[in-house]
Amino acid sequence: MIVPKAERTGARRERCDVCVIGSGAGGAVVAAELAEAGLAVSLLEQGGNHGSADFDQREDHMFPMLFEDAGLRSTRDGAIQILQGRGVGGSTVHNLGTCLRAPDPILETWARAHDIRDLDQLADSFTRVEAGLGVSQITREELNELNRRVERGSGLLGYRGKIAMHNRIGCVRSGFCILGCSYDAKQSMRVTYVPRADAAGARIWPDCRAERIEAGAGGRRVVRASLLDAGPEPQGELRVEARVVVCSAGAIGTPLLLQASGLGGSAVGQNLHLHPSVTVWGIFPEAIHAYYGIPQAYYIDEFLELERDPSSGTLLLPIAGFPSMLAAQLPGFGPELFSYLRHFDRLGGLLTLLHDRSAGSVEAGFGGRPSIRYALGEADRRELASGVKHSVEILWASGAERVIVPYHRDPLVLRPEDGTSSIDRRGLRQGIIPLSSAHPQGSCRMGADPASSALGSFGELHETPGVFVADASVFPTSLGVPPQITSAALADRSAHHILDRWPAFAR
Amino acid sequence: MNRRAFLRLSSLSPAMLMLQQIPFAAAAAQGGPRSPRLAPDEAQVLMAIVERITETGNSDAPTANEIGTLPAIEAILSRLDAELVSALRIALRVVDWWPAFLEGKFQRFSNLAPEAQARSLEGWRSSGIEARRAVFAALRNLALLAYWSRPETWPLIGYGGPWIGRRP
Repeated sequence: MIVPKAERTGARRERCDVCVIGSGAGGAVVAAELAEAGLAVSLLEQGGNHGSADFDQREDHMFPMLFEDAGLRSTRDGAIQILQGRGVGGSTVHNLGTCLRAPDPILETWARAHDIRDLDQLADSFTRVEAGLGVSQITREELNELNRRVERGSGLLGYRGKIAMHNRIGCVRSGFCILGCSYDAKQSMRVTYVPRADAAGARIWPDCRAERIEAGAGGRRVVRASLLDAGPEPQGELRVEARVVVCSAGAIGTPLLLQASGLGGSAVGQNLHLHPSVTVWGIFPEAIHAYYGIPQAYYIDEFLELERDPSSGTLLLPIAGFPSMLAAQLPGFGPELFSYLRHFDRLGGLLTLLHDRSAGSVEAGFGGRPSIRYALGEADRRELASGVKHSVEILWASGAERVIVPYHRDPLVLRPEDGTSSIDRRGLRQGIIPLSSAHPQGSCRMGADPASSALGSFGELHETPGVFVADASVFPTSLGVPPQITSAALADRSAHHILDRWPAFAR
Repeated sequence: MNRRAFLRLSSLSPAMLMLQQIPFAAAAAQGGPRSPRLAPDEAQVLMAIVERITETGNSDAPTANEIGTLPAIEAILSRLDAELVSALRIALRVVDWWPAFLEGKFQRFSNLAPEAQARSLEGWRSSGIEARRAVFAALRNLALLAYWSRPETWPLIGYGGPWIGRRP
């Protein structure tokens, strides 16, 4: 049940078998799997419980509702905007529904270089979560104008690409996925696993921020949380006593919670990967309304050659944006910015997503807020610049007359005859071009060595039995593809591991 | 901007340290923009920044003040952590006094002519100091979110708006 608002004030206490913190791609899966197995589950979610009727497709309303810090979160140098979900369903409510499994070379690296055991079990977990999320193949007829053009353009250049799998059922192709699906077509955790957890008896606490995890009596753990009641100020306190605690607050929230609790050792908060991304914008000769229709239905993986090098590469994905989102990714301000934005309905973007080797960190800063450090290394800068050049060429081949490379100072507006050598000359460094990240990951990584990893092979803290992590924090390396399905599958695997060991936890 | 970054910023000049002690005088902005979360002076600085960031050079375009951007920002701020709002207020204070202490203008940002305000913001955007660039990035994103989300701005760029209740 969703705990009624009237009960979410004052000093509250409850006991359960498992307390899950966070209801996104990891936490919702764990909560549903364990509740359906008969365990008493409490699911705590920092953000609100919003329904499709709340999703009005307005950026100024949806960003504060669905994103951490209203979408204004960034690395501490302000160079990389970090989009993270907030609310029941987490980032699955606003993501673009692209469903890709962890590539085999990545899983092989995790097994070989990081000693992650029994990853072969993940195949069953992938199958289960794909069924649970209604994953299916997007058809060619469903491609919107931008995706159709990019498929054609990349094909003309001989680049490998695919029409994506997605988790939508009954999609009306409005294109507003990133502002929450108003039609409940996107099979986010909010409409799939959270209702399953609810039906199986889990107690779901929205607007409830976990503050720390403490040791309790009899080997139990105590989670102390603030009841926020849809605003930033606490309205009460919740104390949950549980045999097992699962942290699924995302790759920024989870390490902060563990650090605040003194758990997990020095590896917690390290190894943060971001999949930093640059978007270049094609200006097409006619309106293409790229913001309508399935936003990311096609991808180009020609430059993600993981068999050759599992630690680097770029994935190229079409992208559009609504006015303020798109403006934020364009260069300059004032009339200069408007000189680009005025082409709004003719703009179509190609996002270069970097499979990053660079690693940052997260720790508590001013007022306990996240302080996120990240610096792109030289090899990653070169890789990103290479991906951007390919993106420019693909947009030209897709019919764009000009392509904006949005350097903050003296942005490039390139025609095909200009070539891309100017990008080589300028290079790509943090701070000179808008960078964004929708995939923080790896900040509590799994591994065999407690000195360099926080978690064992199934997401349990090395030195704190009964405390698990189930979200993208657990990835030992950058994943290289959108993480939703892998996060959910690893969470499913951890949930079944917990069930297998439950007699020991229940003693 | 976290505390360390702010202190680093502040350490650039003893004058900046003095600046931290200067309270915003609410009475100084009689008739200025009203905001329940920001002091009147802070709201005035913020709206000057928003105007510079969102101005289009197109005489048909509504200004940020004309279309109620401040209430939109207020609604956004009401959902943010108190620490983040505090950081914003500090940042506004620093941006306002920066020209007076560090650009030799002998005037606060909010009192500068629009062209001079734009040049001052350009200094923040292209600064070699990490904290200044971070402040600019946050203010820019906030301004763009509040302005371009307003339906009055959409005809300028041919955006048809939400799909709820209709199809394009």
